[in-house]
Amino acid sequence: MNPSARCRKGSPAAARNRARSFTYLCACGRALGRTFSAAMALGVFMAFLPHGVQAQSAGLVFTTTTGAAAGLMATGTPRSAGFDEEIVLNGRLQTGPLRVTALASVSFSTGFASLGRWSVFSSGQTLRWSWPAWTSGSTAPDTLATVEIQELAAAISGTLAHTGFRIELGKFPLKWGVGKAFRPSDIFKTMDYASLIPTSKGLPAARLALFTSQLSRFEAVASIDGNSTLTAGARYLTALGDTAALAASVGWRRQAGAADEYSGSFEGQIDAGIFTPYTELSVRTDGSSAYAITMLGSSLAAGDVTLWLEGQASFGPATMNARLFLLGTWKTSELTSISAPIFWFNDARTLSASALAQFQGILDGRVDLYATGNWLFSAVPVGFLWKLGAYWARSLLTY
Amino acid sequence: MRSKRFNEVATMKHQISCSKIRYPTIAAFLCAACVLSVSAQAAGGGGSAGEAQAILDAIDAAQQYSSISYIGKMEITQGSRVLKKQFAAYARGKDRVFLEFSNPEDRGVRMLRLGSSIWMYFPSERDTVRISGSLMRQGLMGSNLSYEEVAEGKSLKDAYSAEILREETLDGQPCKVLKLSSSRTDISYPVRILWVDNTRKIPLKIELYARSGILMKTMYIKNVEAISGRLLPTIVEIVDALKKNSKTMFSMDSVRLDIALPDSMFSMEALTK
Repeated sequence: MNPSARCRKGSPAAARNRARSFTYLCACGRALGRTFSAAMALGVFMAFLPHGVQAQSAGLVFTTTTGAAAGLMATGTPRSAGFDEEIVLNGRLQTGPLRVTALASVSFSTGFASLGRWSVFSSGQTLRWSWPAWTSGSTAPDTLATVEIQELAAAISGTLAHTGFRIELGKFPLKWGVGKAFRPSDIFKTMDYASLIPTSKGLPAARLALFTSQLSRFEAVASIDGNSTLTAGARYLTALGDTAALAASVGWRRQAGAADEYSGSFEGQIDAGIFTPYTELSVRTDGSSAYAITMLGSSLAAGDVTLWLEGQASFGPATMNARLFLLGTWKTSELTSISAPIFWFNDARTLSASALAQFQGILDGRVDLYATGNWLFSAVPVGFLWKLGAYWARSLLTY
Repeated sequence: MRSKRFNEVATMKHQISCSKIRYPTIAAFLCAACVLSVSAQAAGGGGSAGEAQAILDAIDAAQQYSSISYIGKMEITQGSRVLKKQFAAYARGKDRVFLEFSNPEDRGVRMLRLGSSIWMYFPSERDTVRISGSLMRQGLMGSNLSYEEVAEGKSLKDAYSAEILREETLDGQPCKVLKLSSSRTDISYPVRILWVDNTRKIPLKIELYARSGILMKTMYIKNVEAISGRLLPTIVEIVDALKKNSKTMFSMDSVRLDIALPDSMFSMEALTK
């Protein structure tokens, strides 16, 4: 986009921009309308359920997040700012042994906020639509509308031979491992580091869980992503008294253009006084070579401050990579907290440091203020990228 | 910018750090704040210590129920800002607790306590987190109720020795002021001062002190209801002594005692359902 063209009122470029913005608004509005229609239909459906199968519990939560962001996303580009609005509908219906969950979001963003959303798109994602449509390597638009079904799943529970079981199908979050930032045993590779504090993404999957005791379970999962990458695994978790928890898992992954990968992993967490160390070890092989990824971490809390420290290292025939994560949280008052996550990615020679302040109870919602700096030591001179953001979020229970 | 929903879930999860406020366990709170009116008689023939212990016994005797369920509400106020949380609570015995939050921001988040282990479940990420070590002292879901206090199952008489300090009138009610002291290191508040109503044998005010002697918070019992023959506090105001303009109103609705709560409710299966 030519900034000069954008600035001239009445110019063809300005008219095109207005038309595109209007188109995006219409697309966003249509998507929003469809989402609300679905929510209304869900509510009407629940209201007219026959009494005999009346839902034991149901709920629909509406969350709106409004904010603005500014920053420098890539070296050699101008800094920019933008607006962001996201509406999330989170529904849950439980009737007898059946549970249905859904989570859909609609967003509209401009400028830097649009760039931020665009940068985390990938071909592996599913049930996400954007206007304009995303393609790998394409330039981020000035305005962006997205609709995503982050979760849509049904689960049925029961008992077989005195053992509880649950079968779940659909798109839902998958998360193995005990780490807060690094999870070597997470064969589904769902960790999202774009957020200030890593979160996990949903995948189309099928899961069978067997609850072998009060605090033990076995689960088998198979998933597929937008790149048709297949992942399957089995995992057993258990608690050892009140002082430790363990898990062991095996996995298989088939990715287009690569040899099948097999893995075996271990997770452990133990109480050690004021510390709570935890660890993961995952060994992987594609048949011709093998490598291992290990993670060691611990948490510590004292008064109003909580600290997490994690380190991950991978050992292979060619390279050894290391990553570090440090998170400190200080609750300055009942309704205010400050968090500071710091990442070091040795493979990319990148240091990322953030500060996040959260204020609860503002206009019945929460205000988040954040600042992030990324130092790229692989570049000469050292590159520096930054982001600033302010958001307000409020949730309402609509049913 | 990445979905703020994910940010909210992640920060909600990791923000289990809490203020210096520590609240008693739900069960211990109930037993500290109500007595069986029939048994709430001071033992005869004893001195101050004997009478104090008898009052303590009567307070503990209020814990004579096998199980409890209720809807809990917390309204945390700081200045002009208010944060509200609501949850359904189920407890059986001294070491089984199940909570499920129902306020919009935390809807579906659950907590399970078995023995001294605590597990949290976050449905939007299908993530089960074990709370242990020093994290136990952090606030449950960012609230003022710590995991450690939820895990405590000790009775007052087992954890404290008591003495009567004086007689005092509080809000027009003549009270005995008791001092509870504990040398145990696993107690959230080693020293507690109770204003116990002479007539109903109900604490009307509780001061909680750290081992250093610093007053941490003050609890005021605002409302008491007779439920299944027992007097239970249903509205409590908790004031943070260390932070200005900070208080929490805790209320209990739909309280039921001695109900059948199956083992299956206190399990990983129920936690992740």
